[in-house]
Amino acid sequence: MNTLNDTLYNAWVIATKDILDALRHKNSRTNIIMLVGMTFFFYWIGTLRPFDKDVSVVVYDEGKTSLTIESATLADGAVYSFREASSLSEMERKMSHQNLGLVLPSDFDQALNSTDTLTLSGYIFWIDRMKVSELEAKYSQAFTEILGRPVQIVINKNVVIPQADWDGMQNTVAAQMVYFVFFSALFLIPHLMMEEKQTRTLDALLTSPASTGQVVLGKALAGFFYVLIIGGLYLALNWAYIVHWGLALAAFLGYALLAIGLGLLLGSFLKSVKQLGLWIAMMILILAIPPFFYMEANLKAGIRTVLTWFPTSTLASLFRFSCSTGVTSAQVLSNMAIAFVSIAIVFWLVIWRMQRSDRDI
Amino acid sequence: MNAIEVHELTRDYNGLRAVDGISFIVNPGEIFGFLGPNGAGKTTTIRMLTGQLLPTSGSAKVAGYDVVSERRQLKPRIGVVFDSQNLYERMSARDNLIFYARLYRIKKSRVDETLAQIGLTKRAGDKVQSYSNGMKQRLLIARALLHKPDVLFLDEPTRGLDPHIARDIRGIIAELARDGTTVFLTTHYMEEADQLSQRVAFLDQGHIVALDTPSRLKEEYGKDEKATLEDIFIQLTGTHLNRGSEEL
Repeated sequence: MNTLNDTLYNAWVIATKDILDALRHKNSRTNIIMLVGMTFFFYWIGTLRPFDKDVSVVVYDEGKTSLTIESATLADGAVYSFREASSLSEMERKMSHQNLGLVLPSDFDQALNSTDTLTLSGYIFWIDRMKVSELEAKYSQAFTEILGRPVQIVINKNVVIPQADWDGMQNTVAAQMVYFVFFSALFLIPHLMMEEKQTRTLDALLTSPASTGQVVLGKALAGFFYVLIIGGLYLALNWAYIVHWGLALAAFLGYALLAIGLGLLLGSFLKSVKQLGLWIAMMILILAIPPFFYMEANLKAGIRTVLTWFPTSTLASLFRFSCSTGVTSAQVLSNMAIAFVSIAIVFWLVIWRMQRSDRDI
Repeated sequence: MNAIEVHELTRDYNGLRAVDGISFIVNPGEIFGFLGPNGAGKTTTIRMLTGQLLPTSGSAKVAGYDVVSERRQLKPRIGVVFDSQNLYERMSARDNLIFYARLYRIKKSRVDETLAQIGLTKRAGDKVQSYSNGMKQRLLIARALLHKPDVLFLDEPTRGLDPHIARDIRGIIAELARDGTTVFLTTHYMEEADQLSQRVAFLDQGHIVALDTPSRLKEEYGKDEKATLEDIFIQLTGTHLNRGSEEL
């Protein structure tokens, strides 16, 4: 029996060789740079909308006041559009990133006629929680301009954390992560295995003290290093969405292991790089698209049931839960079970395939 | 203890018998030539003896270890030079060897020692992709020798090499044997086997058709004093095939 130390040591030796060797490979370097660039691009364009100055205000009018504004354009060109909510909870549910929830108190009409500074309660989304004072100042100035009198918007601790079943940007962030992790794993990892097979360096490796399992583990570690670069960057850029870091890291680990396992599986089955493109496209189509549909609120029940069994859907759900509140243990555990059983099956297939090609074929 | 013991070793591929019940022993410190044309079963035999391939039936021990059940113990005792130049081309020769030195858990000083032994010290820092075929072949031998194996398997070590480089490689093999390493050499160059091996086995269509020292084979089967191993091989395999045809 190989000791655990031997296994970890040999896997580490193989992983460090692969990590350094991939950096020497022009294609791998290009893939890494492209993925890092894409991660930044989607962050800026898709998530934060840095050039978007417009604000959507969801108003809960406690006293059904006389104020009726549909939209207002400020001097700096920012457009404030207004939607109404019938309760505080509906207001929270209608909100998302770059939205302001505004509560008009029942005495709003009287307060509007007074000369004192008008103080209103504002609500912001969880993702904007680090910018409370900045947003208080910004919204106070905006409403002073809109209402033509001094207004103070107080946010303080009025931070809305999305519920697990809400629509919103957190769902897109969860589903997008599948793409980044899958792209980084599938564009890099199969090459680690295929190159060893094509150049027959795998034969030499398997007559050294390294076993089949250790080679697979080594490749997985090397793959994890590259997935960590992309996935870590993605997590770092989108940290503001995350409420439960434990769940977020578990979901990331699941994404990474699944993608690495599938990358190794492709690498162990395929014989040429030409076949790889087709298989990567198929895998992305089959596994990376379901999470986007799965989190669609109006999805038919039958389709949702089918998509529940896709490990990428369950992992995206786990990541979405990490950005939400009100998640039950049963929801977390059932999703984790499907995801991690799938991962175990994929890795078992990799080792089975390697052992077959190693000794039996 | 014999360096290699093979008993009725057989390997089938999709219903075809590549190696058919071969048996032989190799003594410690011996250069054993395993000769045959392409497709005779030489590489399949090496793959079984080095634990890369499971035999369909039969058994084999190398350096005292069973090639199926004691593969883990076997691996550090053997070195293999494959019939392809399977090196990490983007890495330098030294880095190739350091990688294997780490797997075998041997000191890095041994890497420099081996590079010197094989005459690659000056170009050790260059990427392997810039090497000539001869230099790559030397590096393959260096990799196989790094951990001082008891038994060295050389699969067609001079195939495709220029004659002067092939001569260098043969010189290295002879030197290894002088140092006491057992060498299992497959080749289809009969002259090479004649020059290097203490004993040779002729393999044809998965069967050993003759096994002895080159001189005894020549004595026994040679038609005249000038008979070469190649003549004898053709004579033996031709006889074998003709006999098969007659039986049919």
